[in-house]
Amino acid sequence: MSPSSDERGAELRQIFFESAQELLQSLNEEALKLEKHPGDGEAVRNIRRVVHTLKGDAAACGFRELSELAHELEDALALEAASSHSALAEMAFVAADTFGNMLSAYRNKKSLPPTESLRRMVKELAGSAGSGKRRRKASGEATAAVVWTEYEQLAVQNAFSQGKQVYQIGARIDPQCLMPIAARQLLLNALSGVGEVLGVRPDAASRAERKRLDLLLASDAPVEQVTARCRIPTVISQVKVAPVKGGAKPAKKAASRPEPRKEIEAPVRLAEKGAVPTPSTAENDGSETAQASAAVADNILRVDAERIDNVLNLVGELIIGKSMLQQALNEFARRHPKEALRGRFTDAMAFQARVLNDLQRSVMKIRMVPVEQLFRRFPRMVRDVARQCGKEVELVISGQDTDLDKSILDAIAEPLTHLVRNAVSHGIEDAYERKRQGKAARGSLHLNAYHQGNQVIVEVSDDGRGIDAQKVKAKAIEQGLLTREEAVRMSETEALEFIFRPGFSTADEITEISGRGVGMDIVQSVLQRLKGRVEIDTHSGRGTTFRLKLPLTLAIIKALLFRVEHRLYAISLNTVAEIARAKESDLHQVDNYEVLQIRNQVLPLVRLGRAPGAEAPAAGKIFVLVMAMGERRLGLIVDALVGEEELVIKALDDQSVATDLVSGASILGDGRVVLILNITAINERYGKSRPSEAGSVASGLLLSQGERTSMPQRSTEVPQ
Amino acid sequence: MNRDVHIVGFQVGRETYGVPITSLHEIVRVPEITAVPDAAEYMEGVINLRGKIVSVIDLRKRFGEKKVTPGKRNRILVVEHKGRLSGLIVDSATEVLKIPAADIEASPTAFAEGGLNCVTGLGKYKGRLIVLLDTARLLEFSGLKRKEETGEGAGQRGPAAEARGASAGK
Repeated sequence: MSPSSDERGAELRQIFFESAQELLQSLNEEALKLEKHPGDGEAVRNIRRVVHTLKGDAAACGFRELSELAHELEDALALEAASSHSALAEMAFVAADTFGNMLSAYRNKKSLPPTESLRRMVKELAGSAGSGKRRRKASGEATAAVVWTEYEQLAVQNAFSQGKQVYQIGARIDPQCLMPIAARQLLLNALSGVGEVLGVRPDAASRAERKRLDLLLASDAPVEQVTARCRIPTVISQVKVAPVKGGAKPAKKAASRPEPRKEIEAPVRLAEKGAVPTPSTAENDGSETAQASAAVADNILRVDAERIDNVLNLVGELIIGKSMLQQALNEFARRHPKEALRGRFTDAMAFQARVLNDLQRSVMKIRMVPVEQLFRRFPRMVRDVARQCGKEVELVISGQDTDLDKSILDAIAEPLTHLVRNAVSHGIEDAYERKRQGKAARGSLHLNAYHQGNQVIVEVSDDGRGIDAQKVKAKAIEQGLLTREEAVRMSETEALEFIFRPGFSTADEITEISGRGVGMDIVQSVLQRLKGRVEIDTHSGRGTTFRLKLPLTLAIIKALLFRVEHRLYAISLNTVAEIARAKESDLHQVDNYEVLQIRNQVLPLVRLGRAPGAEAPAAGKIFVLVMAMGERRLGLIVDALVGEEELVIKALDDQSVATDLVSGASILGDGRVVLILNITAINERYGKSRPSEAGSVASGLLLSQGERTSMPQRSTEVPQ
Repeated sequence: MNRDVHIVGFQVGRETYGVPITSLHEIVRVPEITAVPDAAEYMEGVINLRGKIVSVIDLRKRFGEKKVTPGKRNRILVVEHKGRLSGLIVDSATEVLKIPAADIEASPTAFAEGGLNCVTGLGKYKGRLIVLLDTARLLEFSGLKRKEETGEGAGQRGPAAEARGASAGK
């Protein structure tokens, strides 16, 4: 191929890798279906279709090994007896894994992984379906042998475009010839003198009978000369050379297989639509799917996520621009209250705001993908893990149409994997145990997703043994994370939080699948990064539900702006449960915490700024933001509220200013930078700083180090 | 060969420092700065530089001045370091100096021993001595310093120590 096609080739391969992942996914799905309903003809047909598409695509990208393996598999699947074979599902799983390994090897340009296990299974399948095979063999000895791969067809098209003739040569090796391998080489040598050999069947590596060789030759020489070349005494007993037609046809993939002419004894199968109908349904199915997928591909655009992010960034800048305009307009209105132009400005602003809103929503929608993309990988995983643990688990999936931001979806893949693995290996009991408890032997695992307000909820629930809060407490005491007194006071919900601690595990033994301790820590940290939350709902003996609460998007949040020490901060509005006003004199001190009583509930408080000195009036009004974090509530004392605004989040990833207290920054309409606080970190910090001496309270969280040391005496004395 | 080195001179306290003009992104007036909690004392905060959020170090505090009074002539030198913009607040930045390469001396070894390895040399310009700085090292040094400070144990000995402990724990 010409050097200019290199770039296109790379692009093609990239597309292939992506589509191949989807193909493998559906291969897994069909295999699961087949495992459930052995002998499901539809599933077998689908598997065959997938393998066929994979074969064709791989060949088009020049991945010969993959294409050939898929070809072998496809052939084996085409046998009628195969569809009822019990090991077929297993083979499909192995095939999916093998193909996956090969793909990643291609992608990383590494050496190919071993494929023996799949080949062996294919052979077994072909062998056990022996009778059917023989029947087909009788119908045409070399039917299966002379199918040229798409790769070779491409070469044929190239040869045509170079103005060469292409011959299909069928050579019978003299039965007296002792070394068929040498015969093959001799023939190849002879032919290389007159032209270029494009393809040979059977392959050098294959152990198939070597009585017969089929070749594709591109050459300028006439038929007679080629035939003469092939006549090698005592080696080749019989030669048939036929020119392949099709030079005039456009080089379309899978469109023109070399058409066999007169003397060829075994007809080459045609994949071309409208060509001679062939007994093989696999080929027809294949071309139909190819057409169907081509039709779908017309309406679907594969776009680099980065480009969409770029657009989203620009939309973000526009939103900042909008609030700049709005502020300028407000200023204008203030200065010229009688100006008639104001109305027109306001109209234009309102129009712009509306369009901008739509624009933002449309761009966000581009980034939204159904959660199914993530869920579909779990059936296979649940099956494998359940098998490893010797359990029976049924996976129920619902809400897979729920849309979720792509980056969030990618981020929760890992935590969800841990949760599912945990549920299967720890949550669900083995069949014996379940029967003893009067449950169905088969455990059930439910994956669900739905929208709730401004959030997306993803649930993993099992009907297993549940998490024993007492056991968690005991472990926590054992590991020194908790004192006995604290444990007694601690609610079950709070106790369950311990399972998210790194290194914490209630499992008595660590298994290959999950040692716990790490997995849940990942769940927690990912959810924190996403500004989401994880909730546990567990009932002893009846099962556990993990509820991941995720924001719809990461890029824009509704935020509440407030001031602390004359500085502006923002906090995500959906963590704010309510805003309370209080007087300094309403605050009480319990256990060195400042608390506020709201509707008979005691709310622990954190001062974000300095604690007022003794001279501050005790009657001073304060605002308390009540934050809800699952069961826990925490009040933040702030100096003043500023308002509510949509903020476009910019990462504050500069190492020198990075702090866990701040989850990001945003630029306001007037150009000021506002920091977005991370409520989880504040909560943690609050938990860590436990002043134990009377009179001291947690405060000054938002000050820089320098300011803290120069703080008034009262609040600096945070003792041991 | 008598090549001139183009240096942007700026004042911090009474001294004149210089950085190569090529290492500067731009010089801006000091806008409103948003303070960042937990930050080191010389870390002034972040500013909005035409839609980008840029962290700002106060070089005067960085160089150990106790009292810093904001003035009209104060400027922020915006430098690029490892693909990221950072700002350095200086008392004033006014002149571009052309110093012949021959008039630049290597920095005294005592500087490096004292941990002042961000000084690359001393330039002589019209009888004045100009301390030449390497902005990259200056910024790295600042980051390192902060890490050292925050690296110590997670004690609860006071608000500052508490802050350190928490940020070391992340």
